[in-house]
Amino acid sequence: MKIPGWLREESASGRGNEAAFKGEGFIDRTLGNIASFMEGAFDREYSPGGVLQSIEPRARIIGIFFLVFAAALAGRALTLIAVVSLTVVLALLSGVRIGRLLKRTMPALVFTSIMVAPISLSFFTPGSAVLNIGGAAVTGEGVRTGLFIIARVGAMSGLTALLMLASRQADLFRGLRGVVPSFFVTALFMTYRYVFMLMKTAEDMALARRSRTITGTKLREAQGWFASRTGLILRKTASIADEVTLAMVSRGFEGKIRTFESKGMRGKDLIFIGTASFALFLSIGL
Amino acid sequence: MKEEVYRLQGVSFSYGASLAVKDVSFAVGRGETLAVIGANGSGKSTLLKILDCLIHPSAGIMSFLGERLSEETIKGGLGRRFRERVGFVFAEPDVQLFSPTVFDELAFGPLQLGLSGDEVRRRCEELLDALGISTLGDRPPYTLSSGEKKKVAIASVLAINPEVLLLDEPTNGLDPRAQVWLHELIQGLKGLKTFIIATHDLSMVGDLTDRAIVLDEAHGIAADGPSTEILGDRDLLLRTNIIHEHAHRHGDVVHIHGHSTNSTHDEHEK
Repeated sequence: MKIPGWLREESASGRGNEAAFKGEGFIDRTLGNIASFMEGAFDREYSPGGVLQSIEPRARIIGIFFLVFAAALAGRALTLIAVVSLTVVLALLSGVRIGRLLKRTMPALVFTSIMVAPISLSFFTPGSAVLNIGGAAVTGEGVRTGLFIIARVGAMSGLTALLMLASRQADLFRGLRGVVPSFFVTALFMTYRYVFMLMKTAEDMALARRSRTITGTKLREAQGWFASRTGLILRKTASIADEVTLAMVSRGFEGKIRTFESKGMRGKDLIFIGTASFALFLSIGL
Repeated sequence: MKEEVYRLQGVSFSYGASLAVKDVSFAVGRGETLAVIGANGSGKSTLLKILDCLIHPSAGIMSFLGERLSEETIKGGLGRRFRERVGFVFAEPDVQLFSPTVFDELAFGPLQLGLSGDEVRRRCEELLDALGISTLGDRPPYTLSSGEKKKVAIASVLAINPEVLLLDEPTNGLDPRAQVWLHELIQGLKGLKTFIIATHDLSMVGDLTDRAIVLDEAHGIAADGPSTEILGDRDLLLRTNIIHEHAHRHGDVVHIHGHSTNSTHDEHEK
């Protein structure tokens, strides 16, 4: 093999402009954030051992669903406070740290707060003004309505976060199989599993690009690169989907996925569902 | 030859206009350990997919245990019986591991083939134990290392208890310890199962297989014979791009080496 002459020379250190070197660009940050969210969504933050973890996954999902439904139907602040209190108690009994639960709930709370902020103004909710901001009056009724919506969203997202934090990924999918047709659950799991894998590919591509980027790239160039890689990943997705289908067919898949039959529920599973459905019943009445 | 498991006559396959397998004919006997070797892109993986009836030949005839294999017969009554008897380990374990846990992964095949839940649980537990991966049972497969993934992929196929195992590049990406594990596993099952192994790894061909088929870069069979004879035919291996040759000097001595992907020097000449 003939090595080109320039390859034998000393590498051209100092030729690039150090001032022009840029650290993480928007691509790295975006991919990094998505990947860490995907990764953190399950197992990483799983808290083992505790009351919720001892409940059969199917019963756990049904019970939490009833409580979420109770929060959605609650007509009084007292009911919402009761649901939030129950969430906190369940979290403590399940070994889930409140700080971690709040961290998971916070994005939904912030987003909802921004969305419902205008409702406190007199244009939308007439009532007695408690504050004037540049000609627009904030009404007491509007503030109460807004807070009620935020509390409702907080309770619902808190319960969902609690379910995630107290469930291993496998348990969650196993539990779902007992509630919805297994085909959908398998499709859902595969989506998660391969999105995760493709995210890793995208991250590696971004890292490989960054390792060879010396002076940084302009935003437009970076966007162009991002679009071309998206196309590549799309093609890779199609290729993986074909191979996965072949791998399933090879092991006997004929269009219908057969799974283990769910085991029967135990006393404490039924008690959990019963308590949650009672809370749902009360929320309709209150 | 013992009872014939596979017979291929004039089998060809193309991906669109691109020919992948050309006019291939051979037979495989029960309990045989056959290597399919060839350069990258010679059609090894495609041939294995044809043997697993995942893709169907565009020309030629193929039979399994005396029954004609085709798209129609596989979709008919033969499909279930064929899937129970033939297992395929893909080169890339990630495409084969799609279940939430390793245990579920092992259970997937037997459950699809209609075994009872209790029987499947028993099989999976015994297999995890036998292959020394019982600690991985509850782990999601995507969190495993490359070697562990390969072990689980092999276990997921063994759980079906097939008569024929098709292994596509089984040693790819395996560290030395995992390679030894795989060698021991194949050695332990040799004679009990029929193995068809597509590989670049000539040490595996020499150590484990009785017979080798060499695919050339025109996608046809360049040679078919006992593994020791095939590995001894340096010209054949050079011609089919399975090994390459280079020379270098140590003082006054010129060494000419034949290399394969996984080999060290296999010949010294002065």
